[in-house]
Amino acid sequence: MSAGLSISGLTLEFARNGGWAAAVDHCDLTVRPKEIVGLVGESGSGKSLTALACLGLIPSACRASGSIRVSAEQIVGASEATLATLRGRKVAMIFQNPMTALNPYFTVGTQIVGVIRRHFVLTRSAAYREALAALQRAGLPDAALGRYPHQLSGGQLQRAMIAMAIACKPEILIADEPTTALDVTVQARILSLLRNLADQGMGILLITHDLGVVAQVSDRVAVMYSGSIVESGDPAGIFSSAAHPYTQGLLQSSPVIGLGSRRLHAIPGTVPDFRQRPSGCAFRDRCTQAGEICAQGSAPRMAISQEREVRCHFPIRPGASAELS
Amino acid sequence: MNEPVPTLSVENLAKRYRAQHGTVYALRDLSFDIPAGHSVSIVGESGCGKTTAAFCIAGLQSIDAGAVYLAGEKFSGASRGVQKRLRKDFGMVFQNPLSALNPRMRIWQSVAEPLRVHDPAVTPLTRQRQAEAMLEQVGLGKQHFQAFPGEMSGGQLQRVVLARALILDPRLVILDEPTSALDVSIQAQVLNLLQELKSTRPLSYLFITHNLALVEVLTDRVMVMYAGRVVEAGPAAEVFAHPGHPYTRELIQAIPDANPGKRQTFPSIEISPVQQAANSGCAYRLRCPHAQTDCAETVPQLGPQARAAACLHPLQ
Repeated sequence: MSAGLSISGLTLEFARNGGWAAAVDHCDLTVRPKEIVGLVGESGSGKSLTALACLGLIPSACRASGSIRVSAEQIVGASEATLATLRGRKVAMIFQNPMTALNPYFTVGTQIVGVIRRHFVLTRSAAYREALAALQRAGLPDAALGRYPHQLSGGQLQRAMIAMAIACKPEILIADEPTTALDVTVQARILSLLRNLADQGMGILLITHDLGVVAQVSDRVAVMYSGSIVESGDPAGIFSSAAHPYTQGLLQSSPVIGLGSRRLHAIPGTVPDFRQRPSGCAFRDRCTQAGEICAQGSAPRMAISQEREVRCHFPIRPGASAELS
Repeated sequence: MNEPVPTLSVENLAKRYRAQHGTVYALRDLSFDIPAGHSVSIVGESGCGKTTAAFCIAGLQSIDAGAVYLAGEKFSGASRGVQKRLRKDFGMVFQNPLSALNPRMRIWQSVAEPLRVHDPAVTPLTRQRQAEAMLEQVGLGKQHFQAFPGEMSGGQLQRVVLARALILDPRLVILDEPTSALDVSIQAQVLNLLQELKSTRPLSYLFITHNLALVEVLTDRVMVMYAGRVVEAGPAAEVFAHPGHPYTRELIQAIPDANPGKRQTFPSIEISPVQQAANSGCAYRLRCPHAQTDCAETVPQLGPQARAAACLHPLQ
């Protein structure tokens, strides 16, 4: 059994008109120890739902099939009791808005100690020592232990949440848009912290819509669109020659400093609701390459190289986009 | 010689809030012009005062000192009647379009609302026609006219808000983070639309954003704010290529570059939030890598030149 997180054939469905509509459709993804995997996509792509599923936190109306393994443990279909022993211990999560993820009534220290004593038989003072060590790893001063969430700045709160997540030394950290609510200068520091944690052995699934963030910290990238991973591989390959038209569109619509007042490339239309997805490839309505075949059945998965894969009938050939840049 | 009257003129604007632990100076001595046909951006981190600036200029918040002129006429402190007349000349677009629209009004009604307020003589039918024509100009079709805000996506709603801001044909539109709630592919659509609208009519933007990469898409000049003060101002291309203020440089260097081949080194030490900025001397000195003893004594002033940095030891 390989270490780390391995998701295979994950499908998350909601009831609709007597049938089921898949918000996440046969998703495959692995995160190895010491690795940051960037999961990129726009709102409605299913990336946050995938993240929640890794902790068994999907809503009760959602039906899950497929497999999510964290080292040897199966998450999909596990009992609440089993999940409770895994959450925080094997796999932990940090959220976009630390202010709403921490309890305003308790100090940061109390909340971290709570997590530690949930998983380990330790005296209160021993648990506090562990909490202090976690805070230090997250780059917070010791005094933060006695602070309430409202007494900390946004960046400090995000560090406090990271401290809570890493306190029991989980193998996998799921980070769902951890820097989206932060200023760029604070974001830079949190990214540096995530890199450090990965260097020390943690596997991190970093969910974001910011391609710059992905380019800077991830070792591998997966691009999600309307419930499916449409392209995955190494960042250097994807950023220099995107194979899926959606990936290329995302890259081109991201504004870059220093390019003057040129028009941005916009992808026409919007991400379809998963309940009203077009037949065949979900991107075909917005795609410039789409042909008739795209309406029939889902696009095939093709290996571009050992590390790279694309799900498209008409992938952009590396040569073609290399000529452009 | 007759100088053309600037579309917007802001003079020594100041705003302070009384807080639990003393006074917060949200805005100190803000002065700038937007010449007719030009556009200006204000950038900075949360808490720097950029949204306060927008609200004070638009008269949505009282000011403690200074003055705002619209096309040469004094707007701040003017009588209600004068303010109402001048308000026709500028529109406003907020960050969250869903909360900026009345959930119980149909889309066309929201867009027609400024006409009803400012031009009561116009018949309801004419108002509806004008609103629908405006909605078409921002790229929305017939199927949307009768919709309610809750039925539309974020990008579509921001188009509606923009249509409402433009329906009285204003000289100036204040855009407060208009795309930060949108996905990048939709953000590009809205920015392109803003660009188009500006090129087809004599329109100026005051663009408030935290995203430096958006500045040049819409405006030629930029002002960088920190702790309620403009610390650097100038043509956007020049400021970004050769920042004069260490804070501007810090902002630029913190932007993650979408190039995996060029890994940036990000600092790891926590920075003090803007709320804890120094109250004497240069506000940025506690975070500044180049701070010297005199930075604690003198408040650096922003020069009157077109390109200026409020720093005692500017970067070369």
